[in-house]
Amino acid sequence: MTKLFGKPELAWLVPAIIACGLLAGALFVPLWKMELVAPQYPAGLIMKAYGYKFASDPNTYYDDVREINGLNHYIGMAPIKEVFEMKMFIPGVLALIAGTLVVSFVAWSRRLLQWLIVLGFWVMPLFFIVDLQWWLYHYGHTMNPEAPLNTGAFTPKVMGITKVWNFHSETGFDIGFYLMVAAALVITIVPIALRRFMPHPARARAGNVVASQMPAAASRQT
Amino acid sequence: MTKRTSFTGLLALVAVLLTLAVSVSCSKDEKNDTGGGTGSADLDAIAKERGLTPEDLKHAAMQFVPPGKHDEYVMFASGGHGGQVLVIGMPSMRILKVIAAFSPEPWQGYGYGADWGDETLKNGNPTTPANVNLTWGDTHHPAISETGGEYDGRYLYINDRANGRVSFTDLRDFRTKQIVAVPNIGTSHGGMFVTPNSDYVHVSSKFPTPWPWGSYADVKDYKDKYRGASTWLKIDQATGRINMAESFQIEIPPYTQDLADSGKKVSDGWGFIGSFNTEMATGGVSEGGQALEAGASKNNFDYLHAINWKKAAEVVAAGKATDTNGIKLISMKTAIDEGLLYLIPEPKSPHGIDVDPSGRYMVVGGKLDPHVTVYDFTKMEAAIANKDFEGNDAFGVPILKFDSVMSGQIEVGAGPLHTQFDSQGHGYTSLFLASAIAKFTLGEDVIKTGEKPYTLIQQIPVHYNIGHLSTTEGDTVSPDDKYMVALNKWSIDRFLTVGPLHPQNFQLIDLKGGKGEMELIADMPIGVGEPHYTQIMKADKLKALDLYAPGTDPITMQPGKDAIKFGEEKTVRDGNTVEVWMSAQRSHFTPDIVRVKQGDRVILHVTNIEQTKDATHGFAISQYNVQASLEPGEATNFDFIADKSGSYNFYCTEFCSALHLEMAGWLLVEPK
Repeated sequence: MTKLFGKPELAWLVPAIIACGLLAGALFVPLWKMELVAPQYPAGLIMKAYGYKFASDPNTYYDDVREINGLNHYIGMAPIKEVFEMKMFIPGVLALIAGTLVVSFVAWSRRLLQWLIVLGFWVMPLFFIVDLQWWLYHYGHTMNPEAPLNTGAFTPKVMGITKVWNFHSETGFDIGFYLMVAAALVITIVPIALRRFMPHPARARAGNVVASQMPAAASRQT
Repeated sequence: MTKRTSFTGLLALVAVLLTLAVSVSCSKDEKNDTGGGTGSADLDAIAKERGLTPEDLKHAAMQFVPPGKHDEYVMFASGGHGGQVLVIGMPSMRILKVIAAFSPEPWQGYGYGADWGDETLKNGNPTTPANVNLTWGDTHHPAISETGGEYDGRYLYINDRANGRVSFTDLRDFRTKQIVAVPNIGTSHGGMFVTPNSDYVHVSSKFPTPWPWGSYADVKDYKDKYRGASTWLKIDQATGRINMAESFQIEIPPYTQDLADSGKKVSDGWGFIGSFNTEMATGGVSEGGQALEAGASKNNFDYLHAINWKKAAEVVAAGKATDTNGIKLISMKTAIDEGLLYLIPEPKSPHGIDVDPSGRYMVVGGKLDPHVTVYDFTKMEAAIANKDFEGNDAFGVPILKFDSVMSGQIEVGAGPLHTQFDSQGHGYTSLFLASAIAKFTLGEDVIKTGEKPYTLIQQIPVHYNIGHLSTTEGDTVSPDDKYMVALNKWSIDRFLTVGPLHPQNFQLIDLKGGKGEMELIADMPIGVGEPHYTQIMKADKLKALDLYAPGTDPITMQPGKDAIKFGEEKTVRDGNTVEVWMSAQRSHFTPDIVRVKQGDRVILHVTNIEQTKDATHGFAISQYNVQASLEPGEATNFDFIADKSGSYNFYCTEFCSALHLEMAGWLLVEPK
């Protein structure tokens, strides 16, 4: 019976820690930003989406999110609110980081668990894109029909320019998202690369056994 | 190896292609610029069509601020009998705002129900005489607060010449928050002038009044019963408000004090006040007397008052002042005994008194004498120390010998009034009768251009009959030498005829750094009052907010006691009082129906819960004479009796949104 816990594999542990660090960084910085541009807003209205909250530009005292919600209420769009998935963001990230560190020390089904962790890292950014697009679709298709201004249903883009009347919104990913992607890349590619170049104790021992047997065989032959 | 080479080669090729593409497009743009001929050809055609000379085009370019760009300087001008302060951008000479000071003003909601304005106006009424409700003021001379002798953009003060009052405007939100009726004066002119670190702001009386304050005395008893006063009002540094308890006043002779200025640098600690009626004439044209214009102009000399305010403050602290009608008063006798007051002869009914940036030279405009007289502060100090007096006046005040204090006289032209300065050692004096401005040099030690001292350099005509003038930062220890504005009293033919009451004319003049010749650039009509003086400050010193922090009470600039957030709206009835906490946002008031009974006391606490620039909401109640302006974040209170029964519409009066017309509600007053 293999031990449950054992010595960690460095080729996995080091990139795992780096990936956890990058992912942790995504807790503190925005993942996505939206800028509303219209003639009467020469400085633009900027909203940043962190994993767990929506916020205005922290460098000014203007409350752009409030202003955006104020404008949206004219077209019957629901106020921007932190949804359930966002409340789960911090616990989710912390769980994944904890899981990564634990798995680094698990010996039983090590490879399988490691691939599950890698999958988890990819789920973070991919789920974010899908979920975000779904909510953008939802906001654009559940507008109050009795609202004063009727724009018709529309779906704001996750990345790109969306035009509605005198506004156009420019959306795009922010540094937090790229950190998540970087984390996923690191934990996928680096262990594979390291394993190719780094001698693994078990493989090295196996190699030595074969090698040590060969000269004997050779010497026996002569 | 081949793979790598070909890859590098590909990269190089791409780089070359990119560079080519960029440079080609750039040169294409250049071609368009020069080929289109947008330069002089168009300008010449316009000039020809509009009859503009090259001079005109040059002046237009010197003044023009392109749409979307901001002015370099901000000028605060008194609004004269409009009772307000004008805020004008320079060099564009555009009015940016009119700040209400002594007169109620509905756009800003000053005096129409909102507590901040109502309280300020009410507390600005004098208590002596009683039952006075003043609804105007003759704003004359604004003063911006200073730190180290430089404008700091925090607070603005201005006097009401007609009623002897002063007002304080907070430059964080450009709202007037305090009016003080100064005791014992009745009228004012020599103010406002701040001391170099805004410890005090000075105002002196204009026409003397009978003392004790509030008593009656015929002008026949002028010399014995009428007095003037030099008042030093203490400024609270944190709020900018005037603190009467720490202010003081000095009794001065009834010479009809005129303008004043605060000393700075070497003369810091002293203030100077001119006067023009040492004859103590009182008119009486129908009683066998002479009109004041003759009676007050007989003597060849009147008196410049020199007041040691720093020492006076110590005298007050030592308990030698008497609380008189709410202010600590130093009697004339005490002032003489303590060496606080000296008189210096100044030729013939002079007008302005201005202290140069170095603080050493005090310049007086002759008004009825074509000279400016320059006094040297160091000579004045020496004369006092040596008791170089030519005697005392009728009240026992020592008079310094004219020749011992005067350092230069320059014949500048007819009717010299006010002087302003540049940093090169020049004074600029307005000439009312000559309708011109004279530029001259001061004493040798401040001249930086190598010109001779006390010499007339240049005269420039203005249109017409200039009163005051102002140079950029000219009242401070470091003038900017950029622009000058002539405040002309008569515009005559400069503008379209718009009825018999003509606008005034502000003229913008380029100072050429103080080194070249003054050049007139532009005219600007003022059709809202007669400005008397201005202060021109560099625009980057403005510290104004563009919205209030949520729930701010503008009176205290702190969170209002009854400010609310969205969701906290409520209506509470207590006996005959109905109290409503209301919010305003685009595009509705919450609540939008207020039900009261006739005779109820209605208290409204309205908070503008927006936090976006320019999201102002107005608030007016039909037939109840209520109109207020609620800026984003502001929390304001209304308190009135619903004495008229009926259904009264209230609505947002400042266009706020696409649904502004729908932003309205009902005040339903059920009849008794």
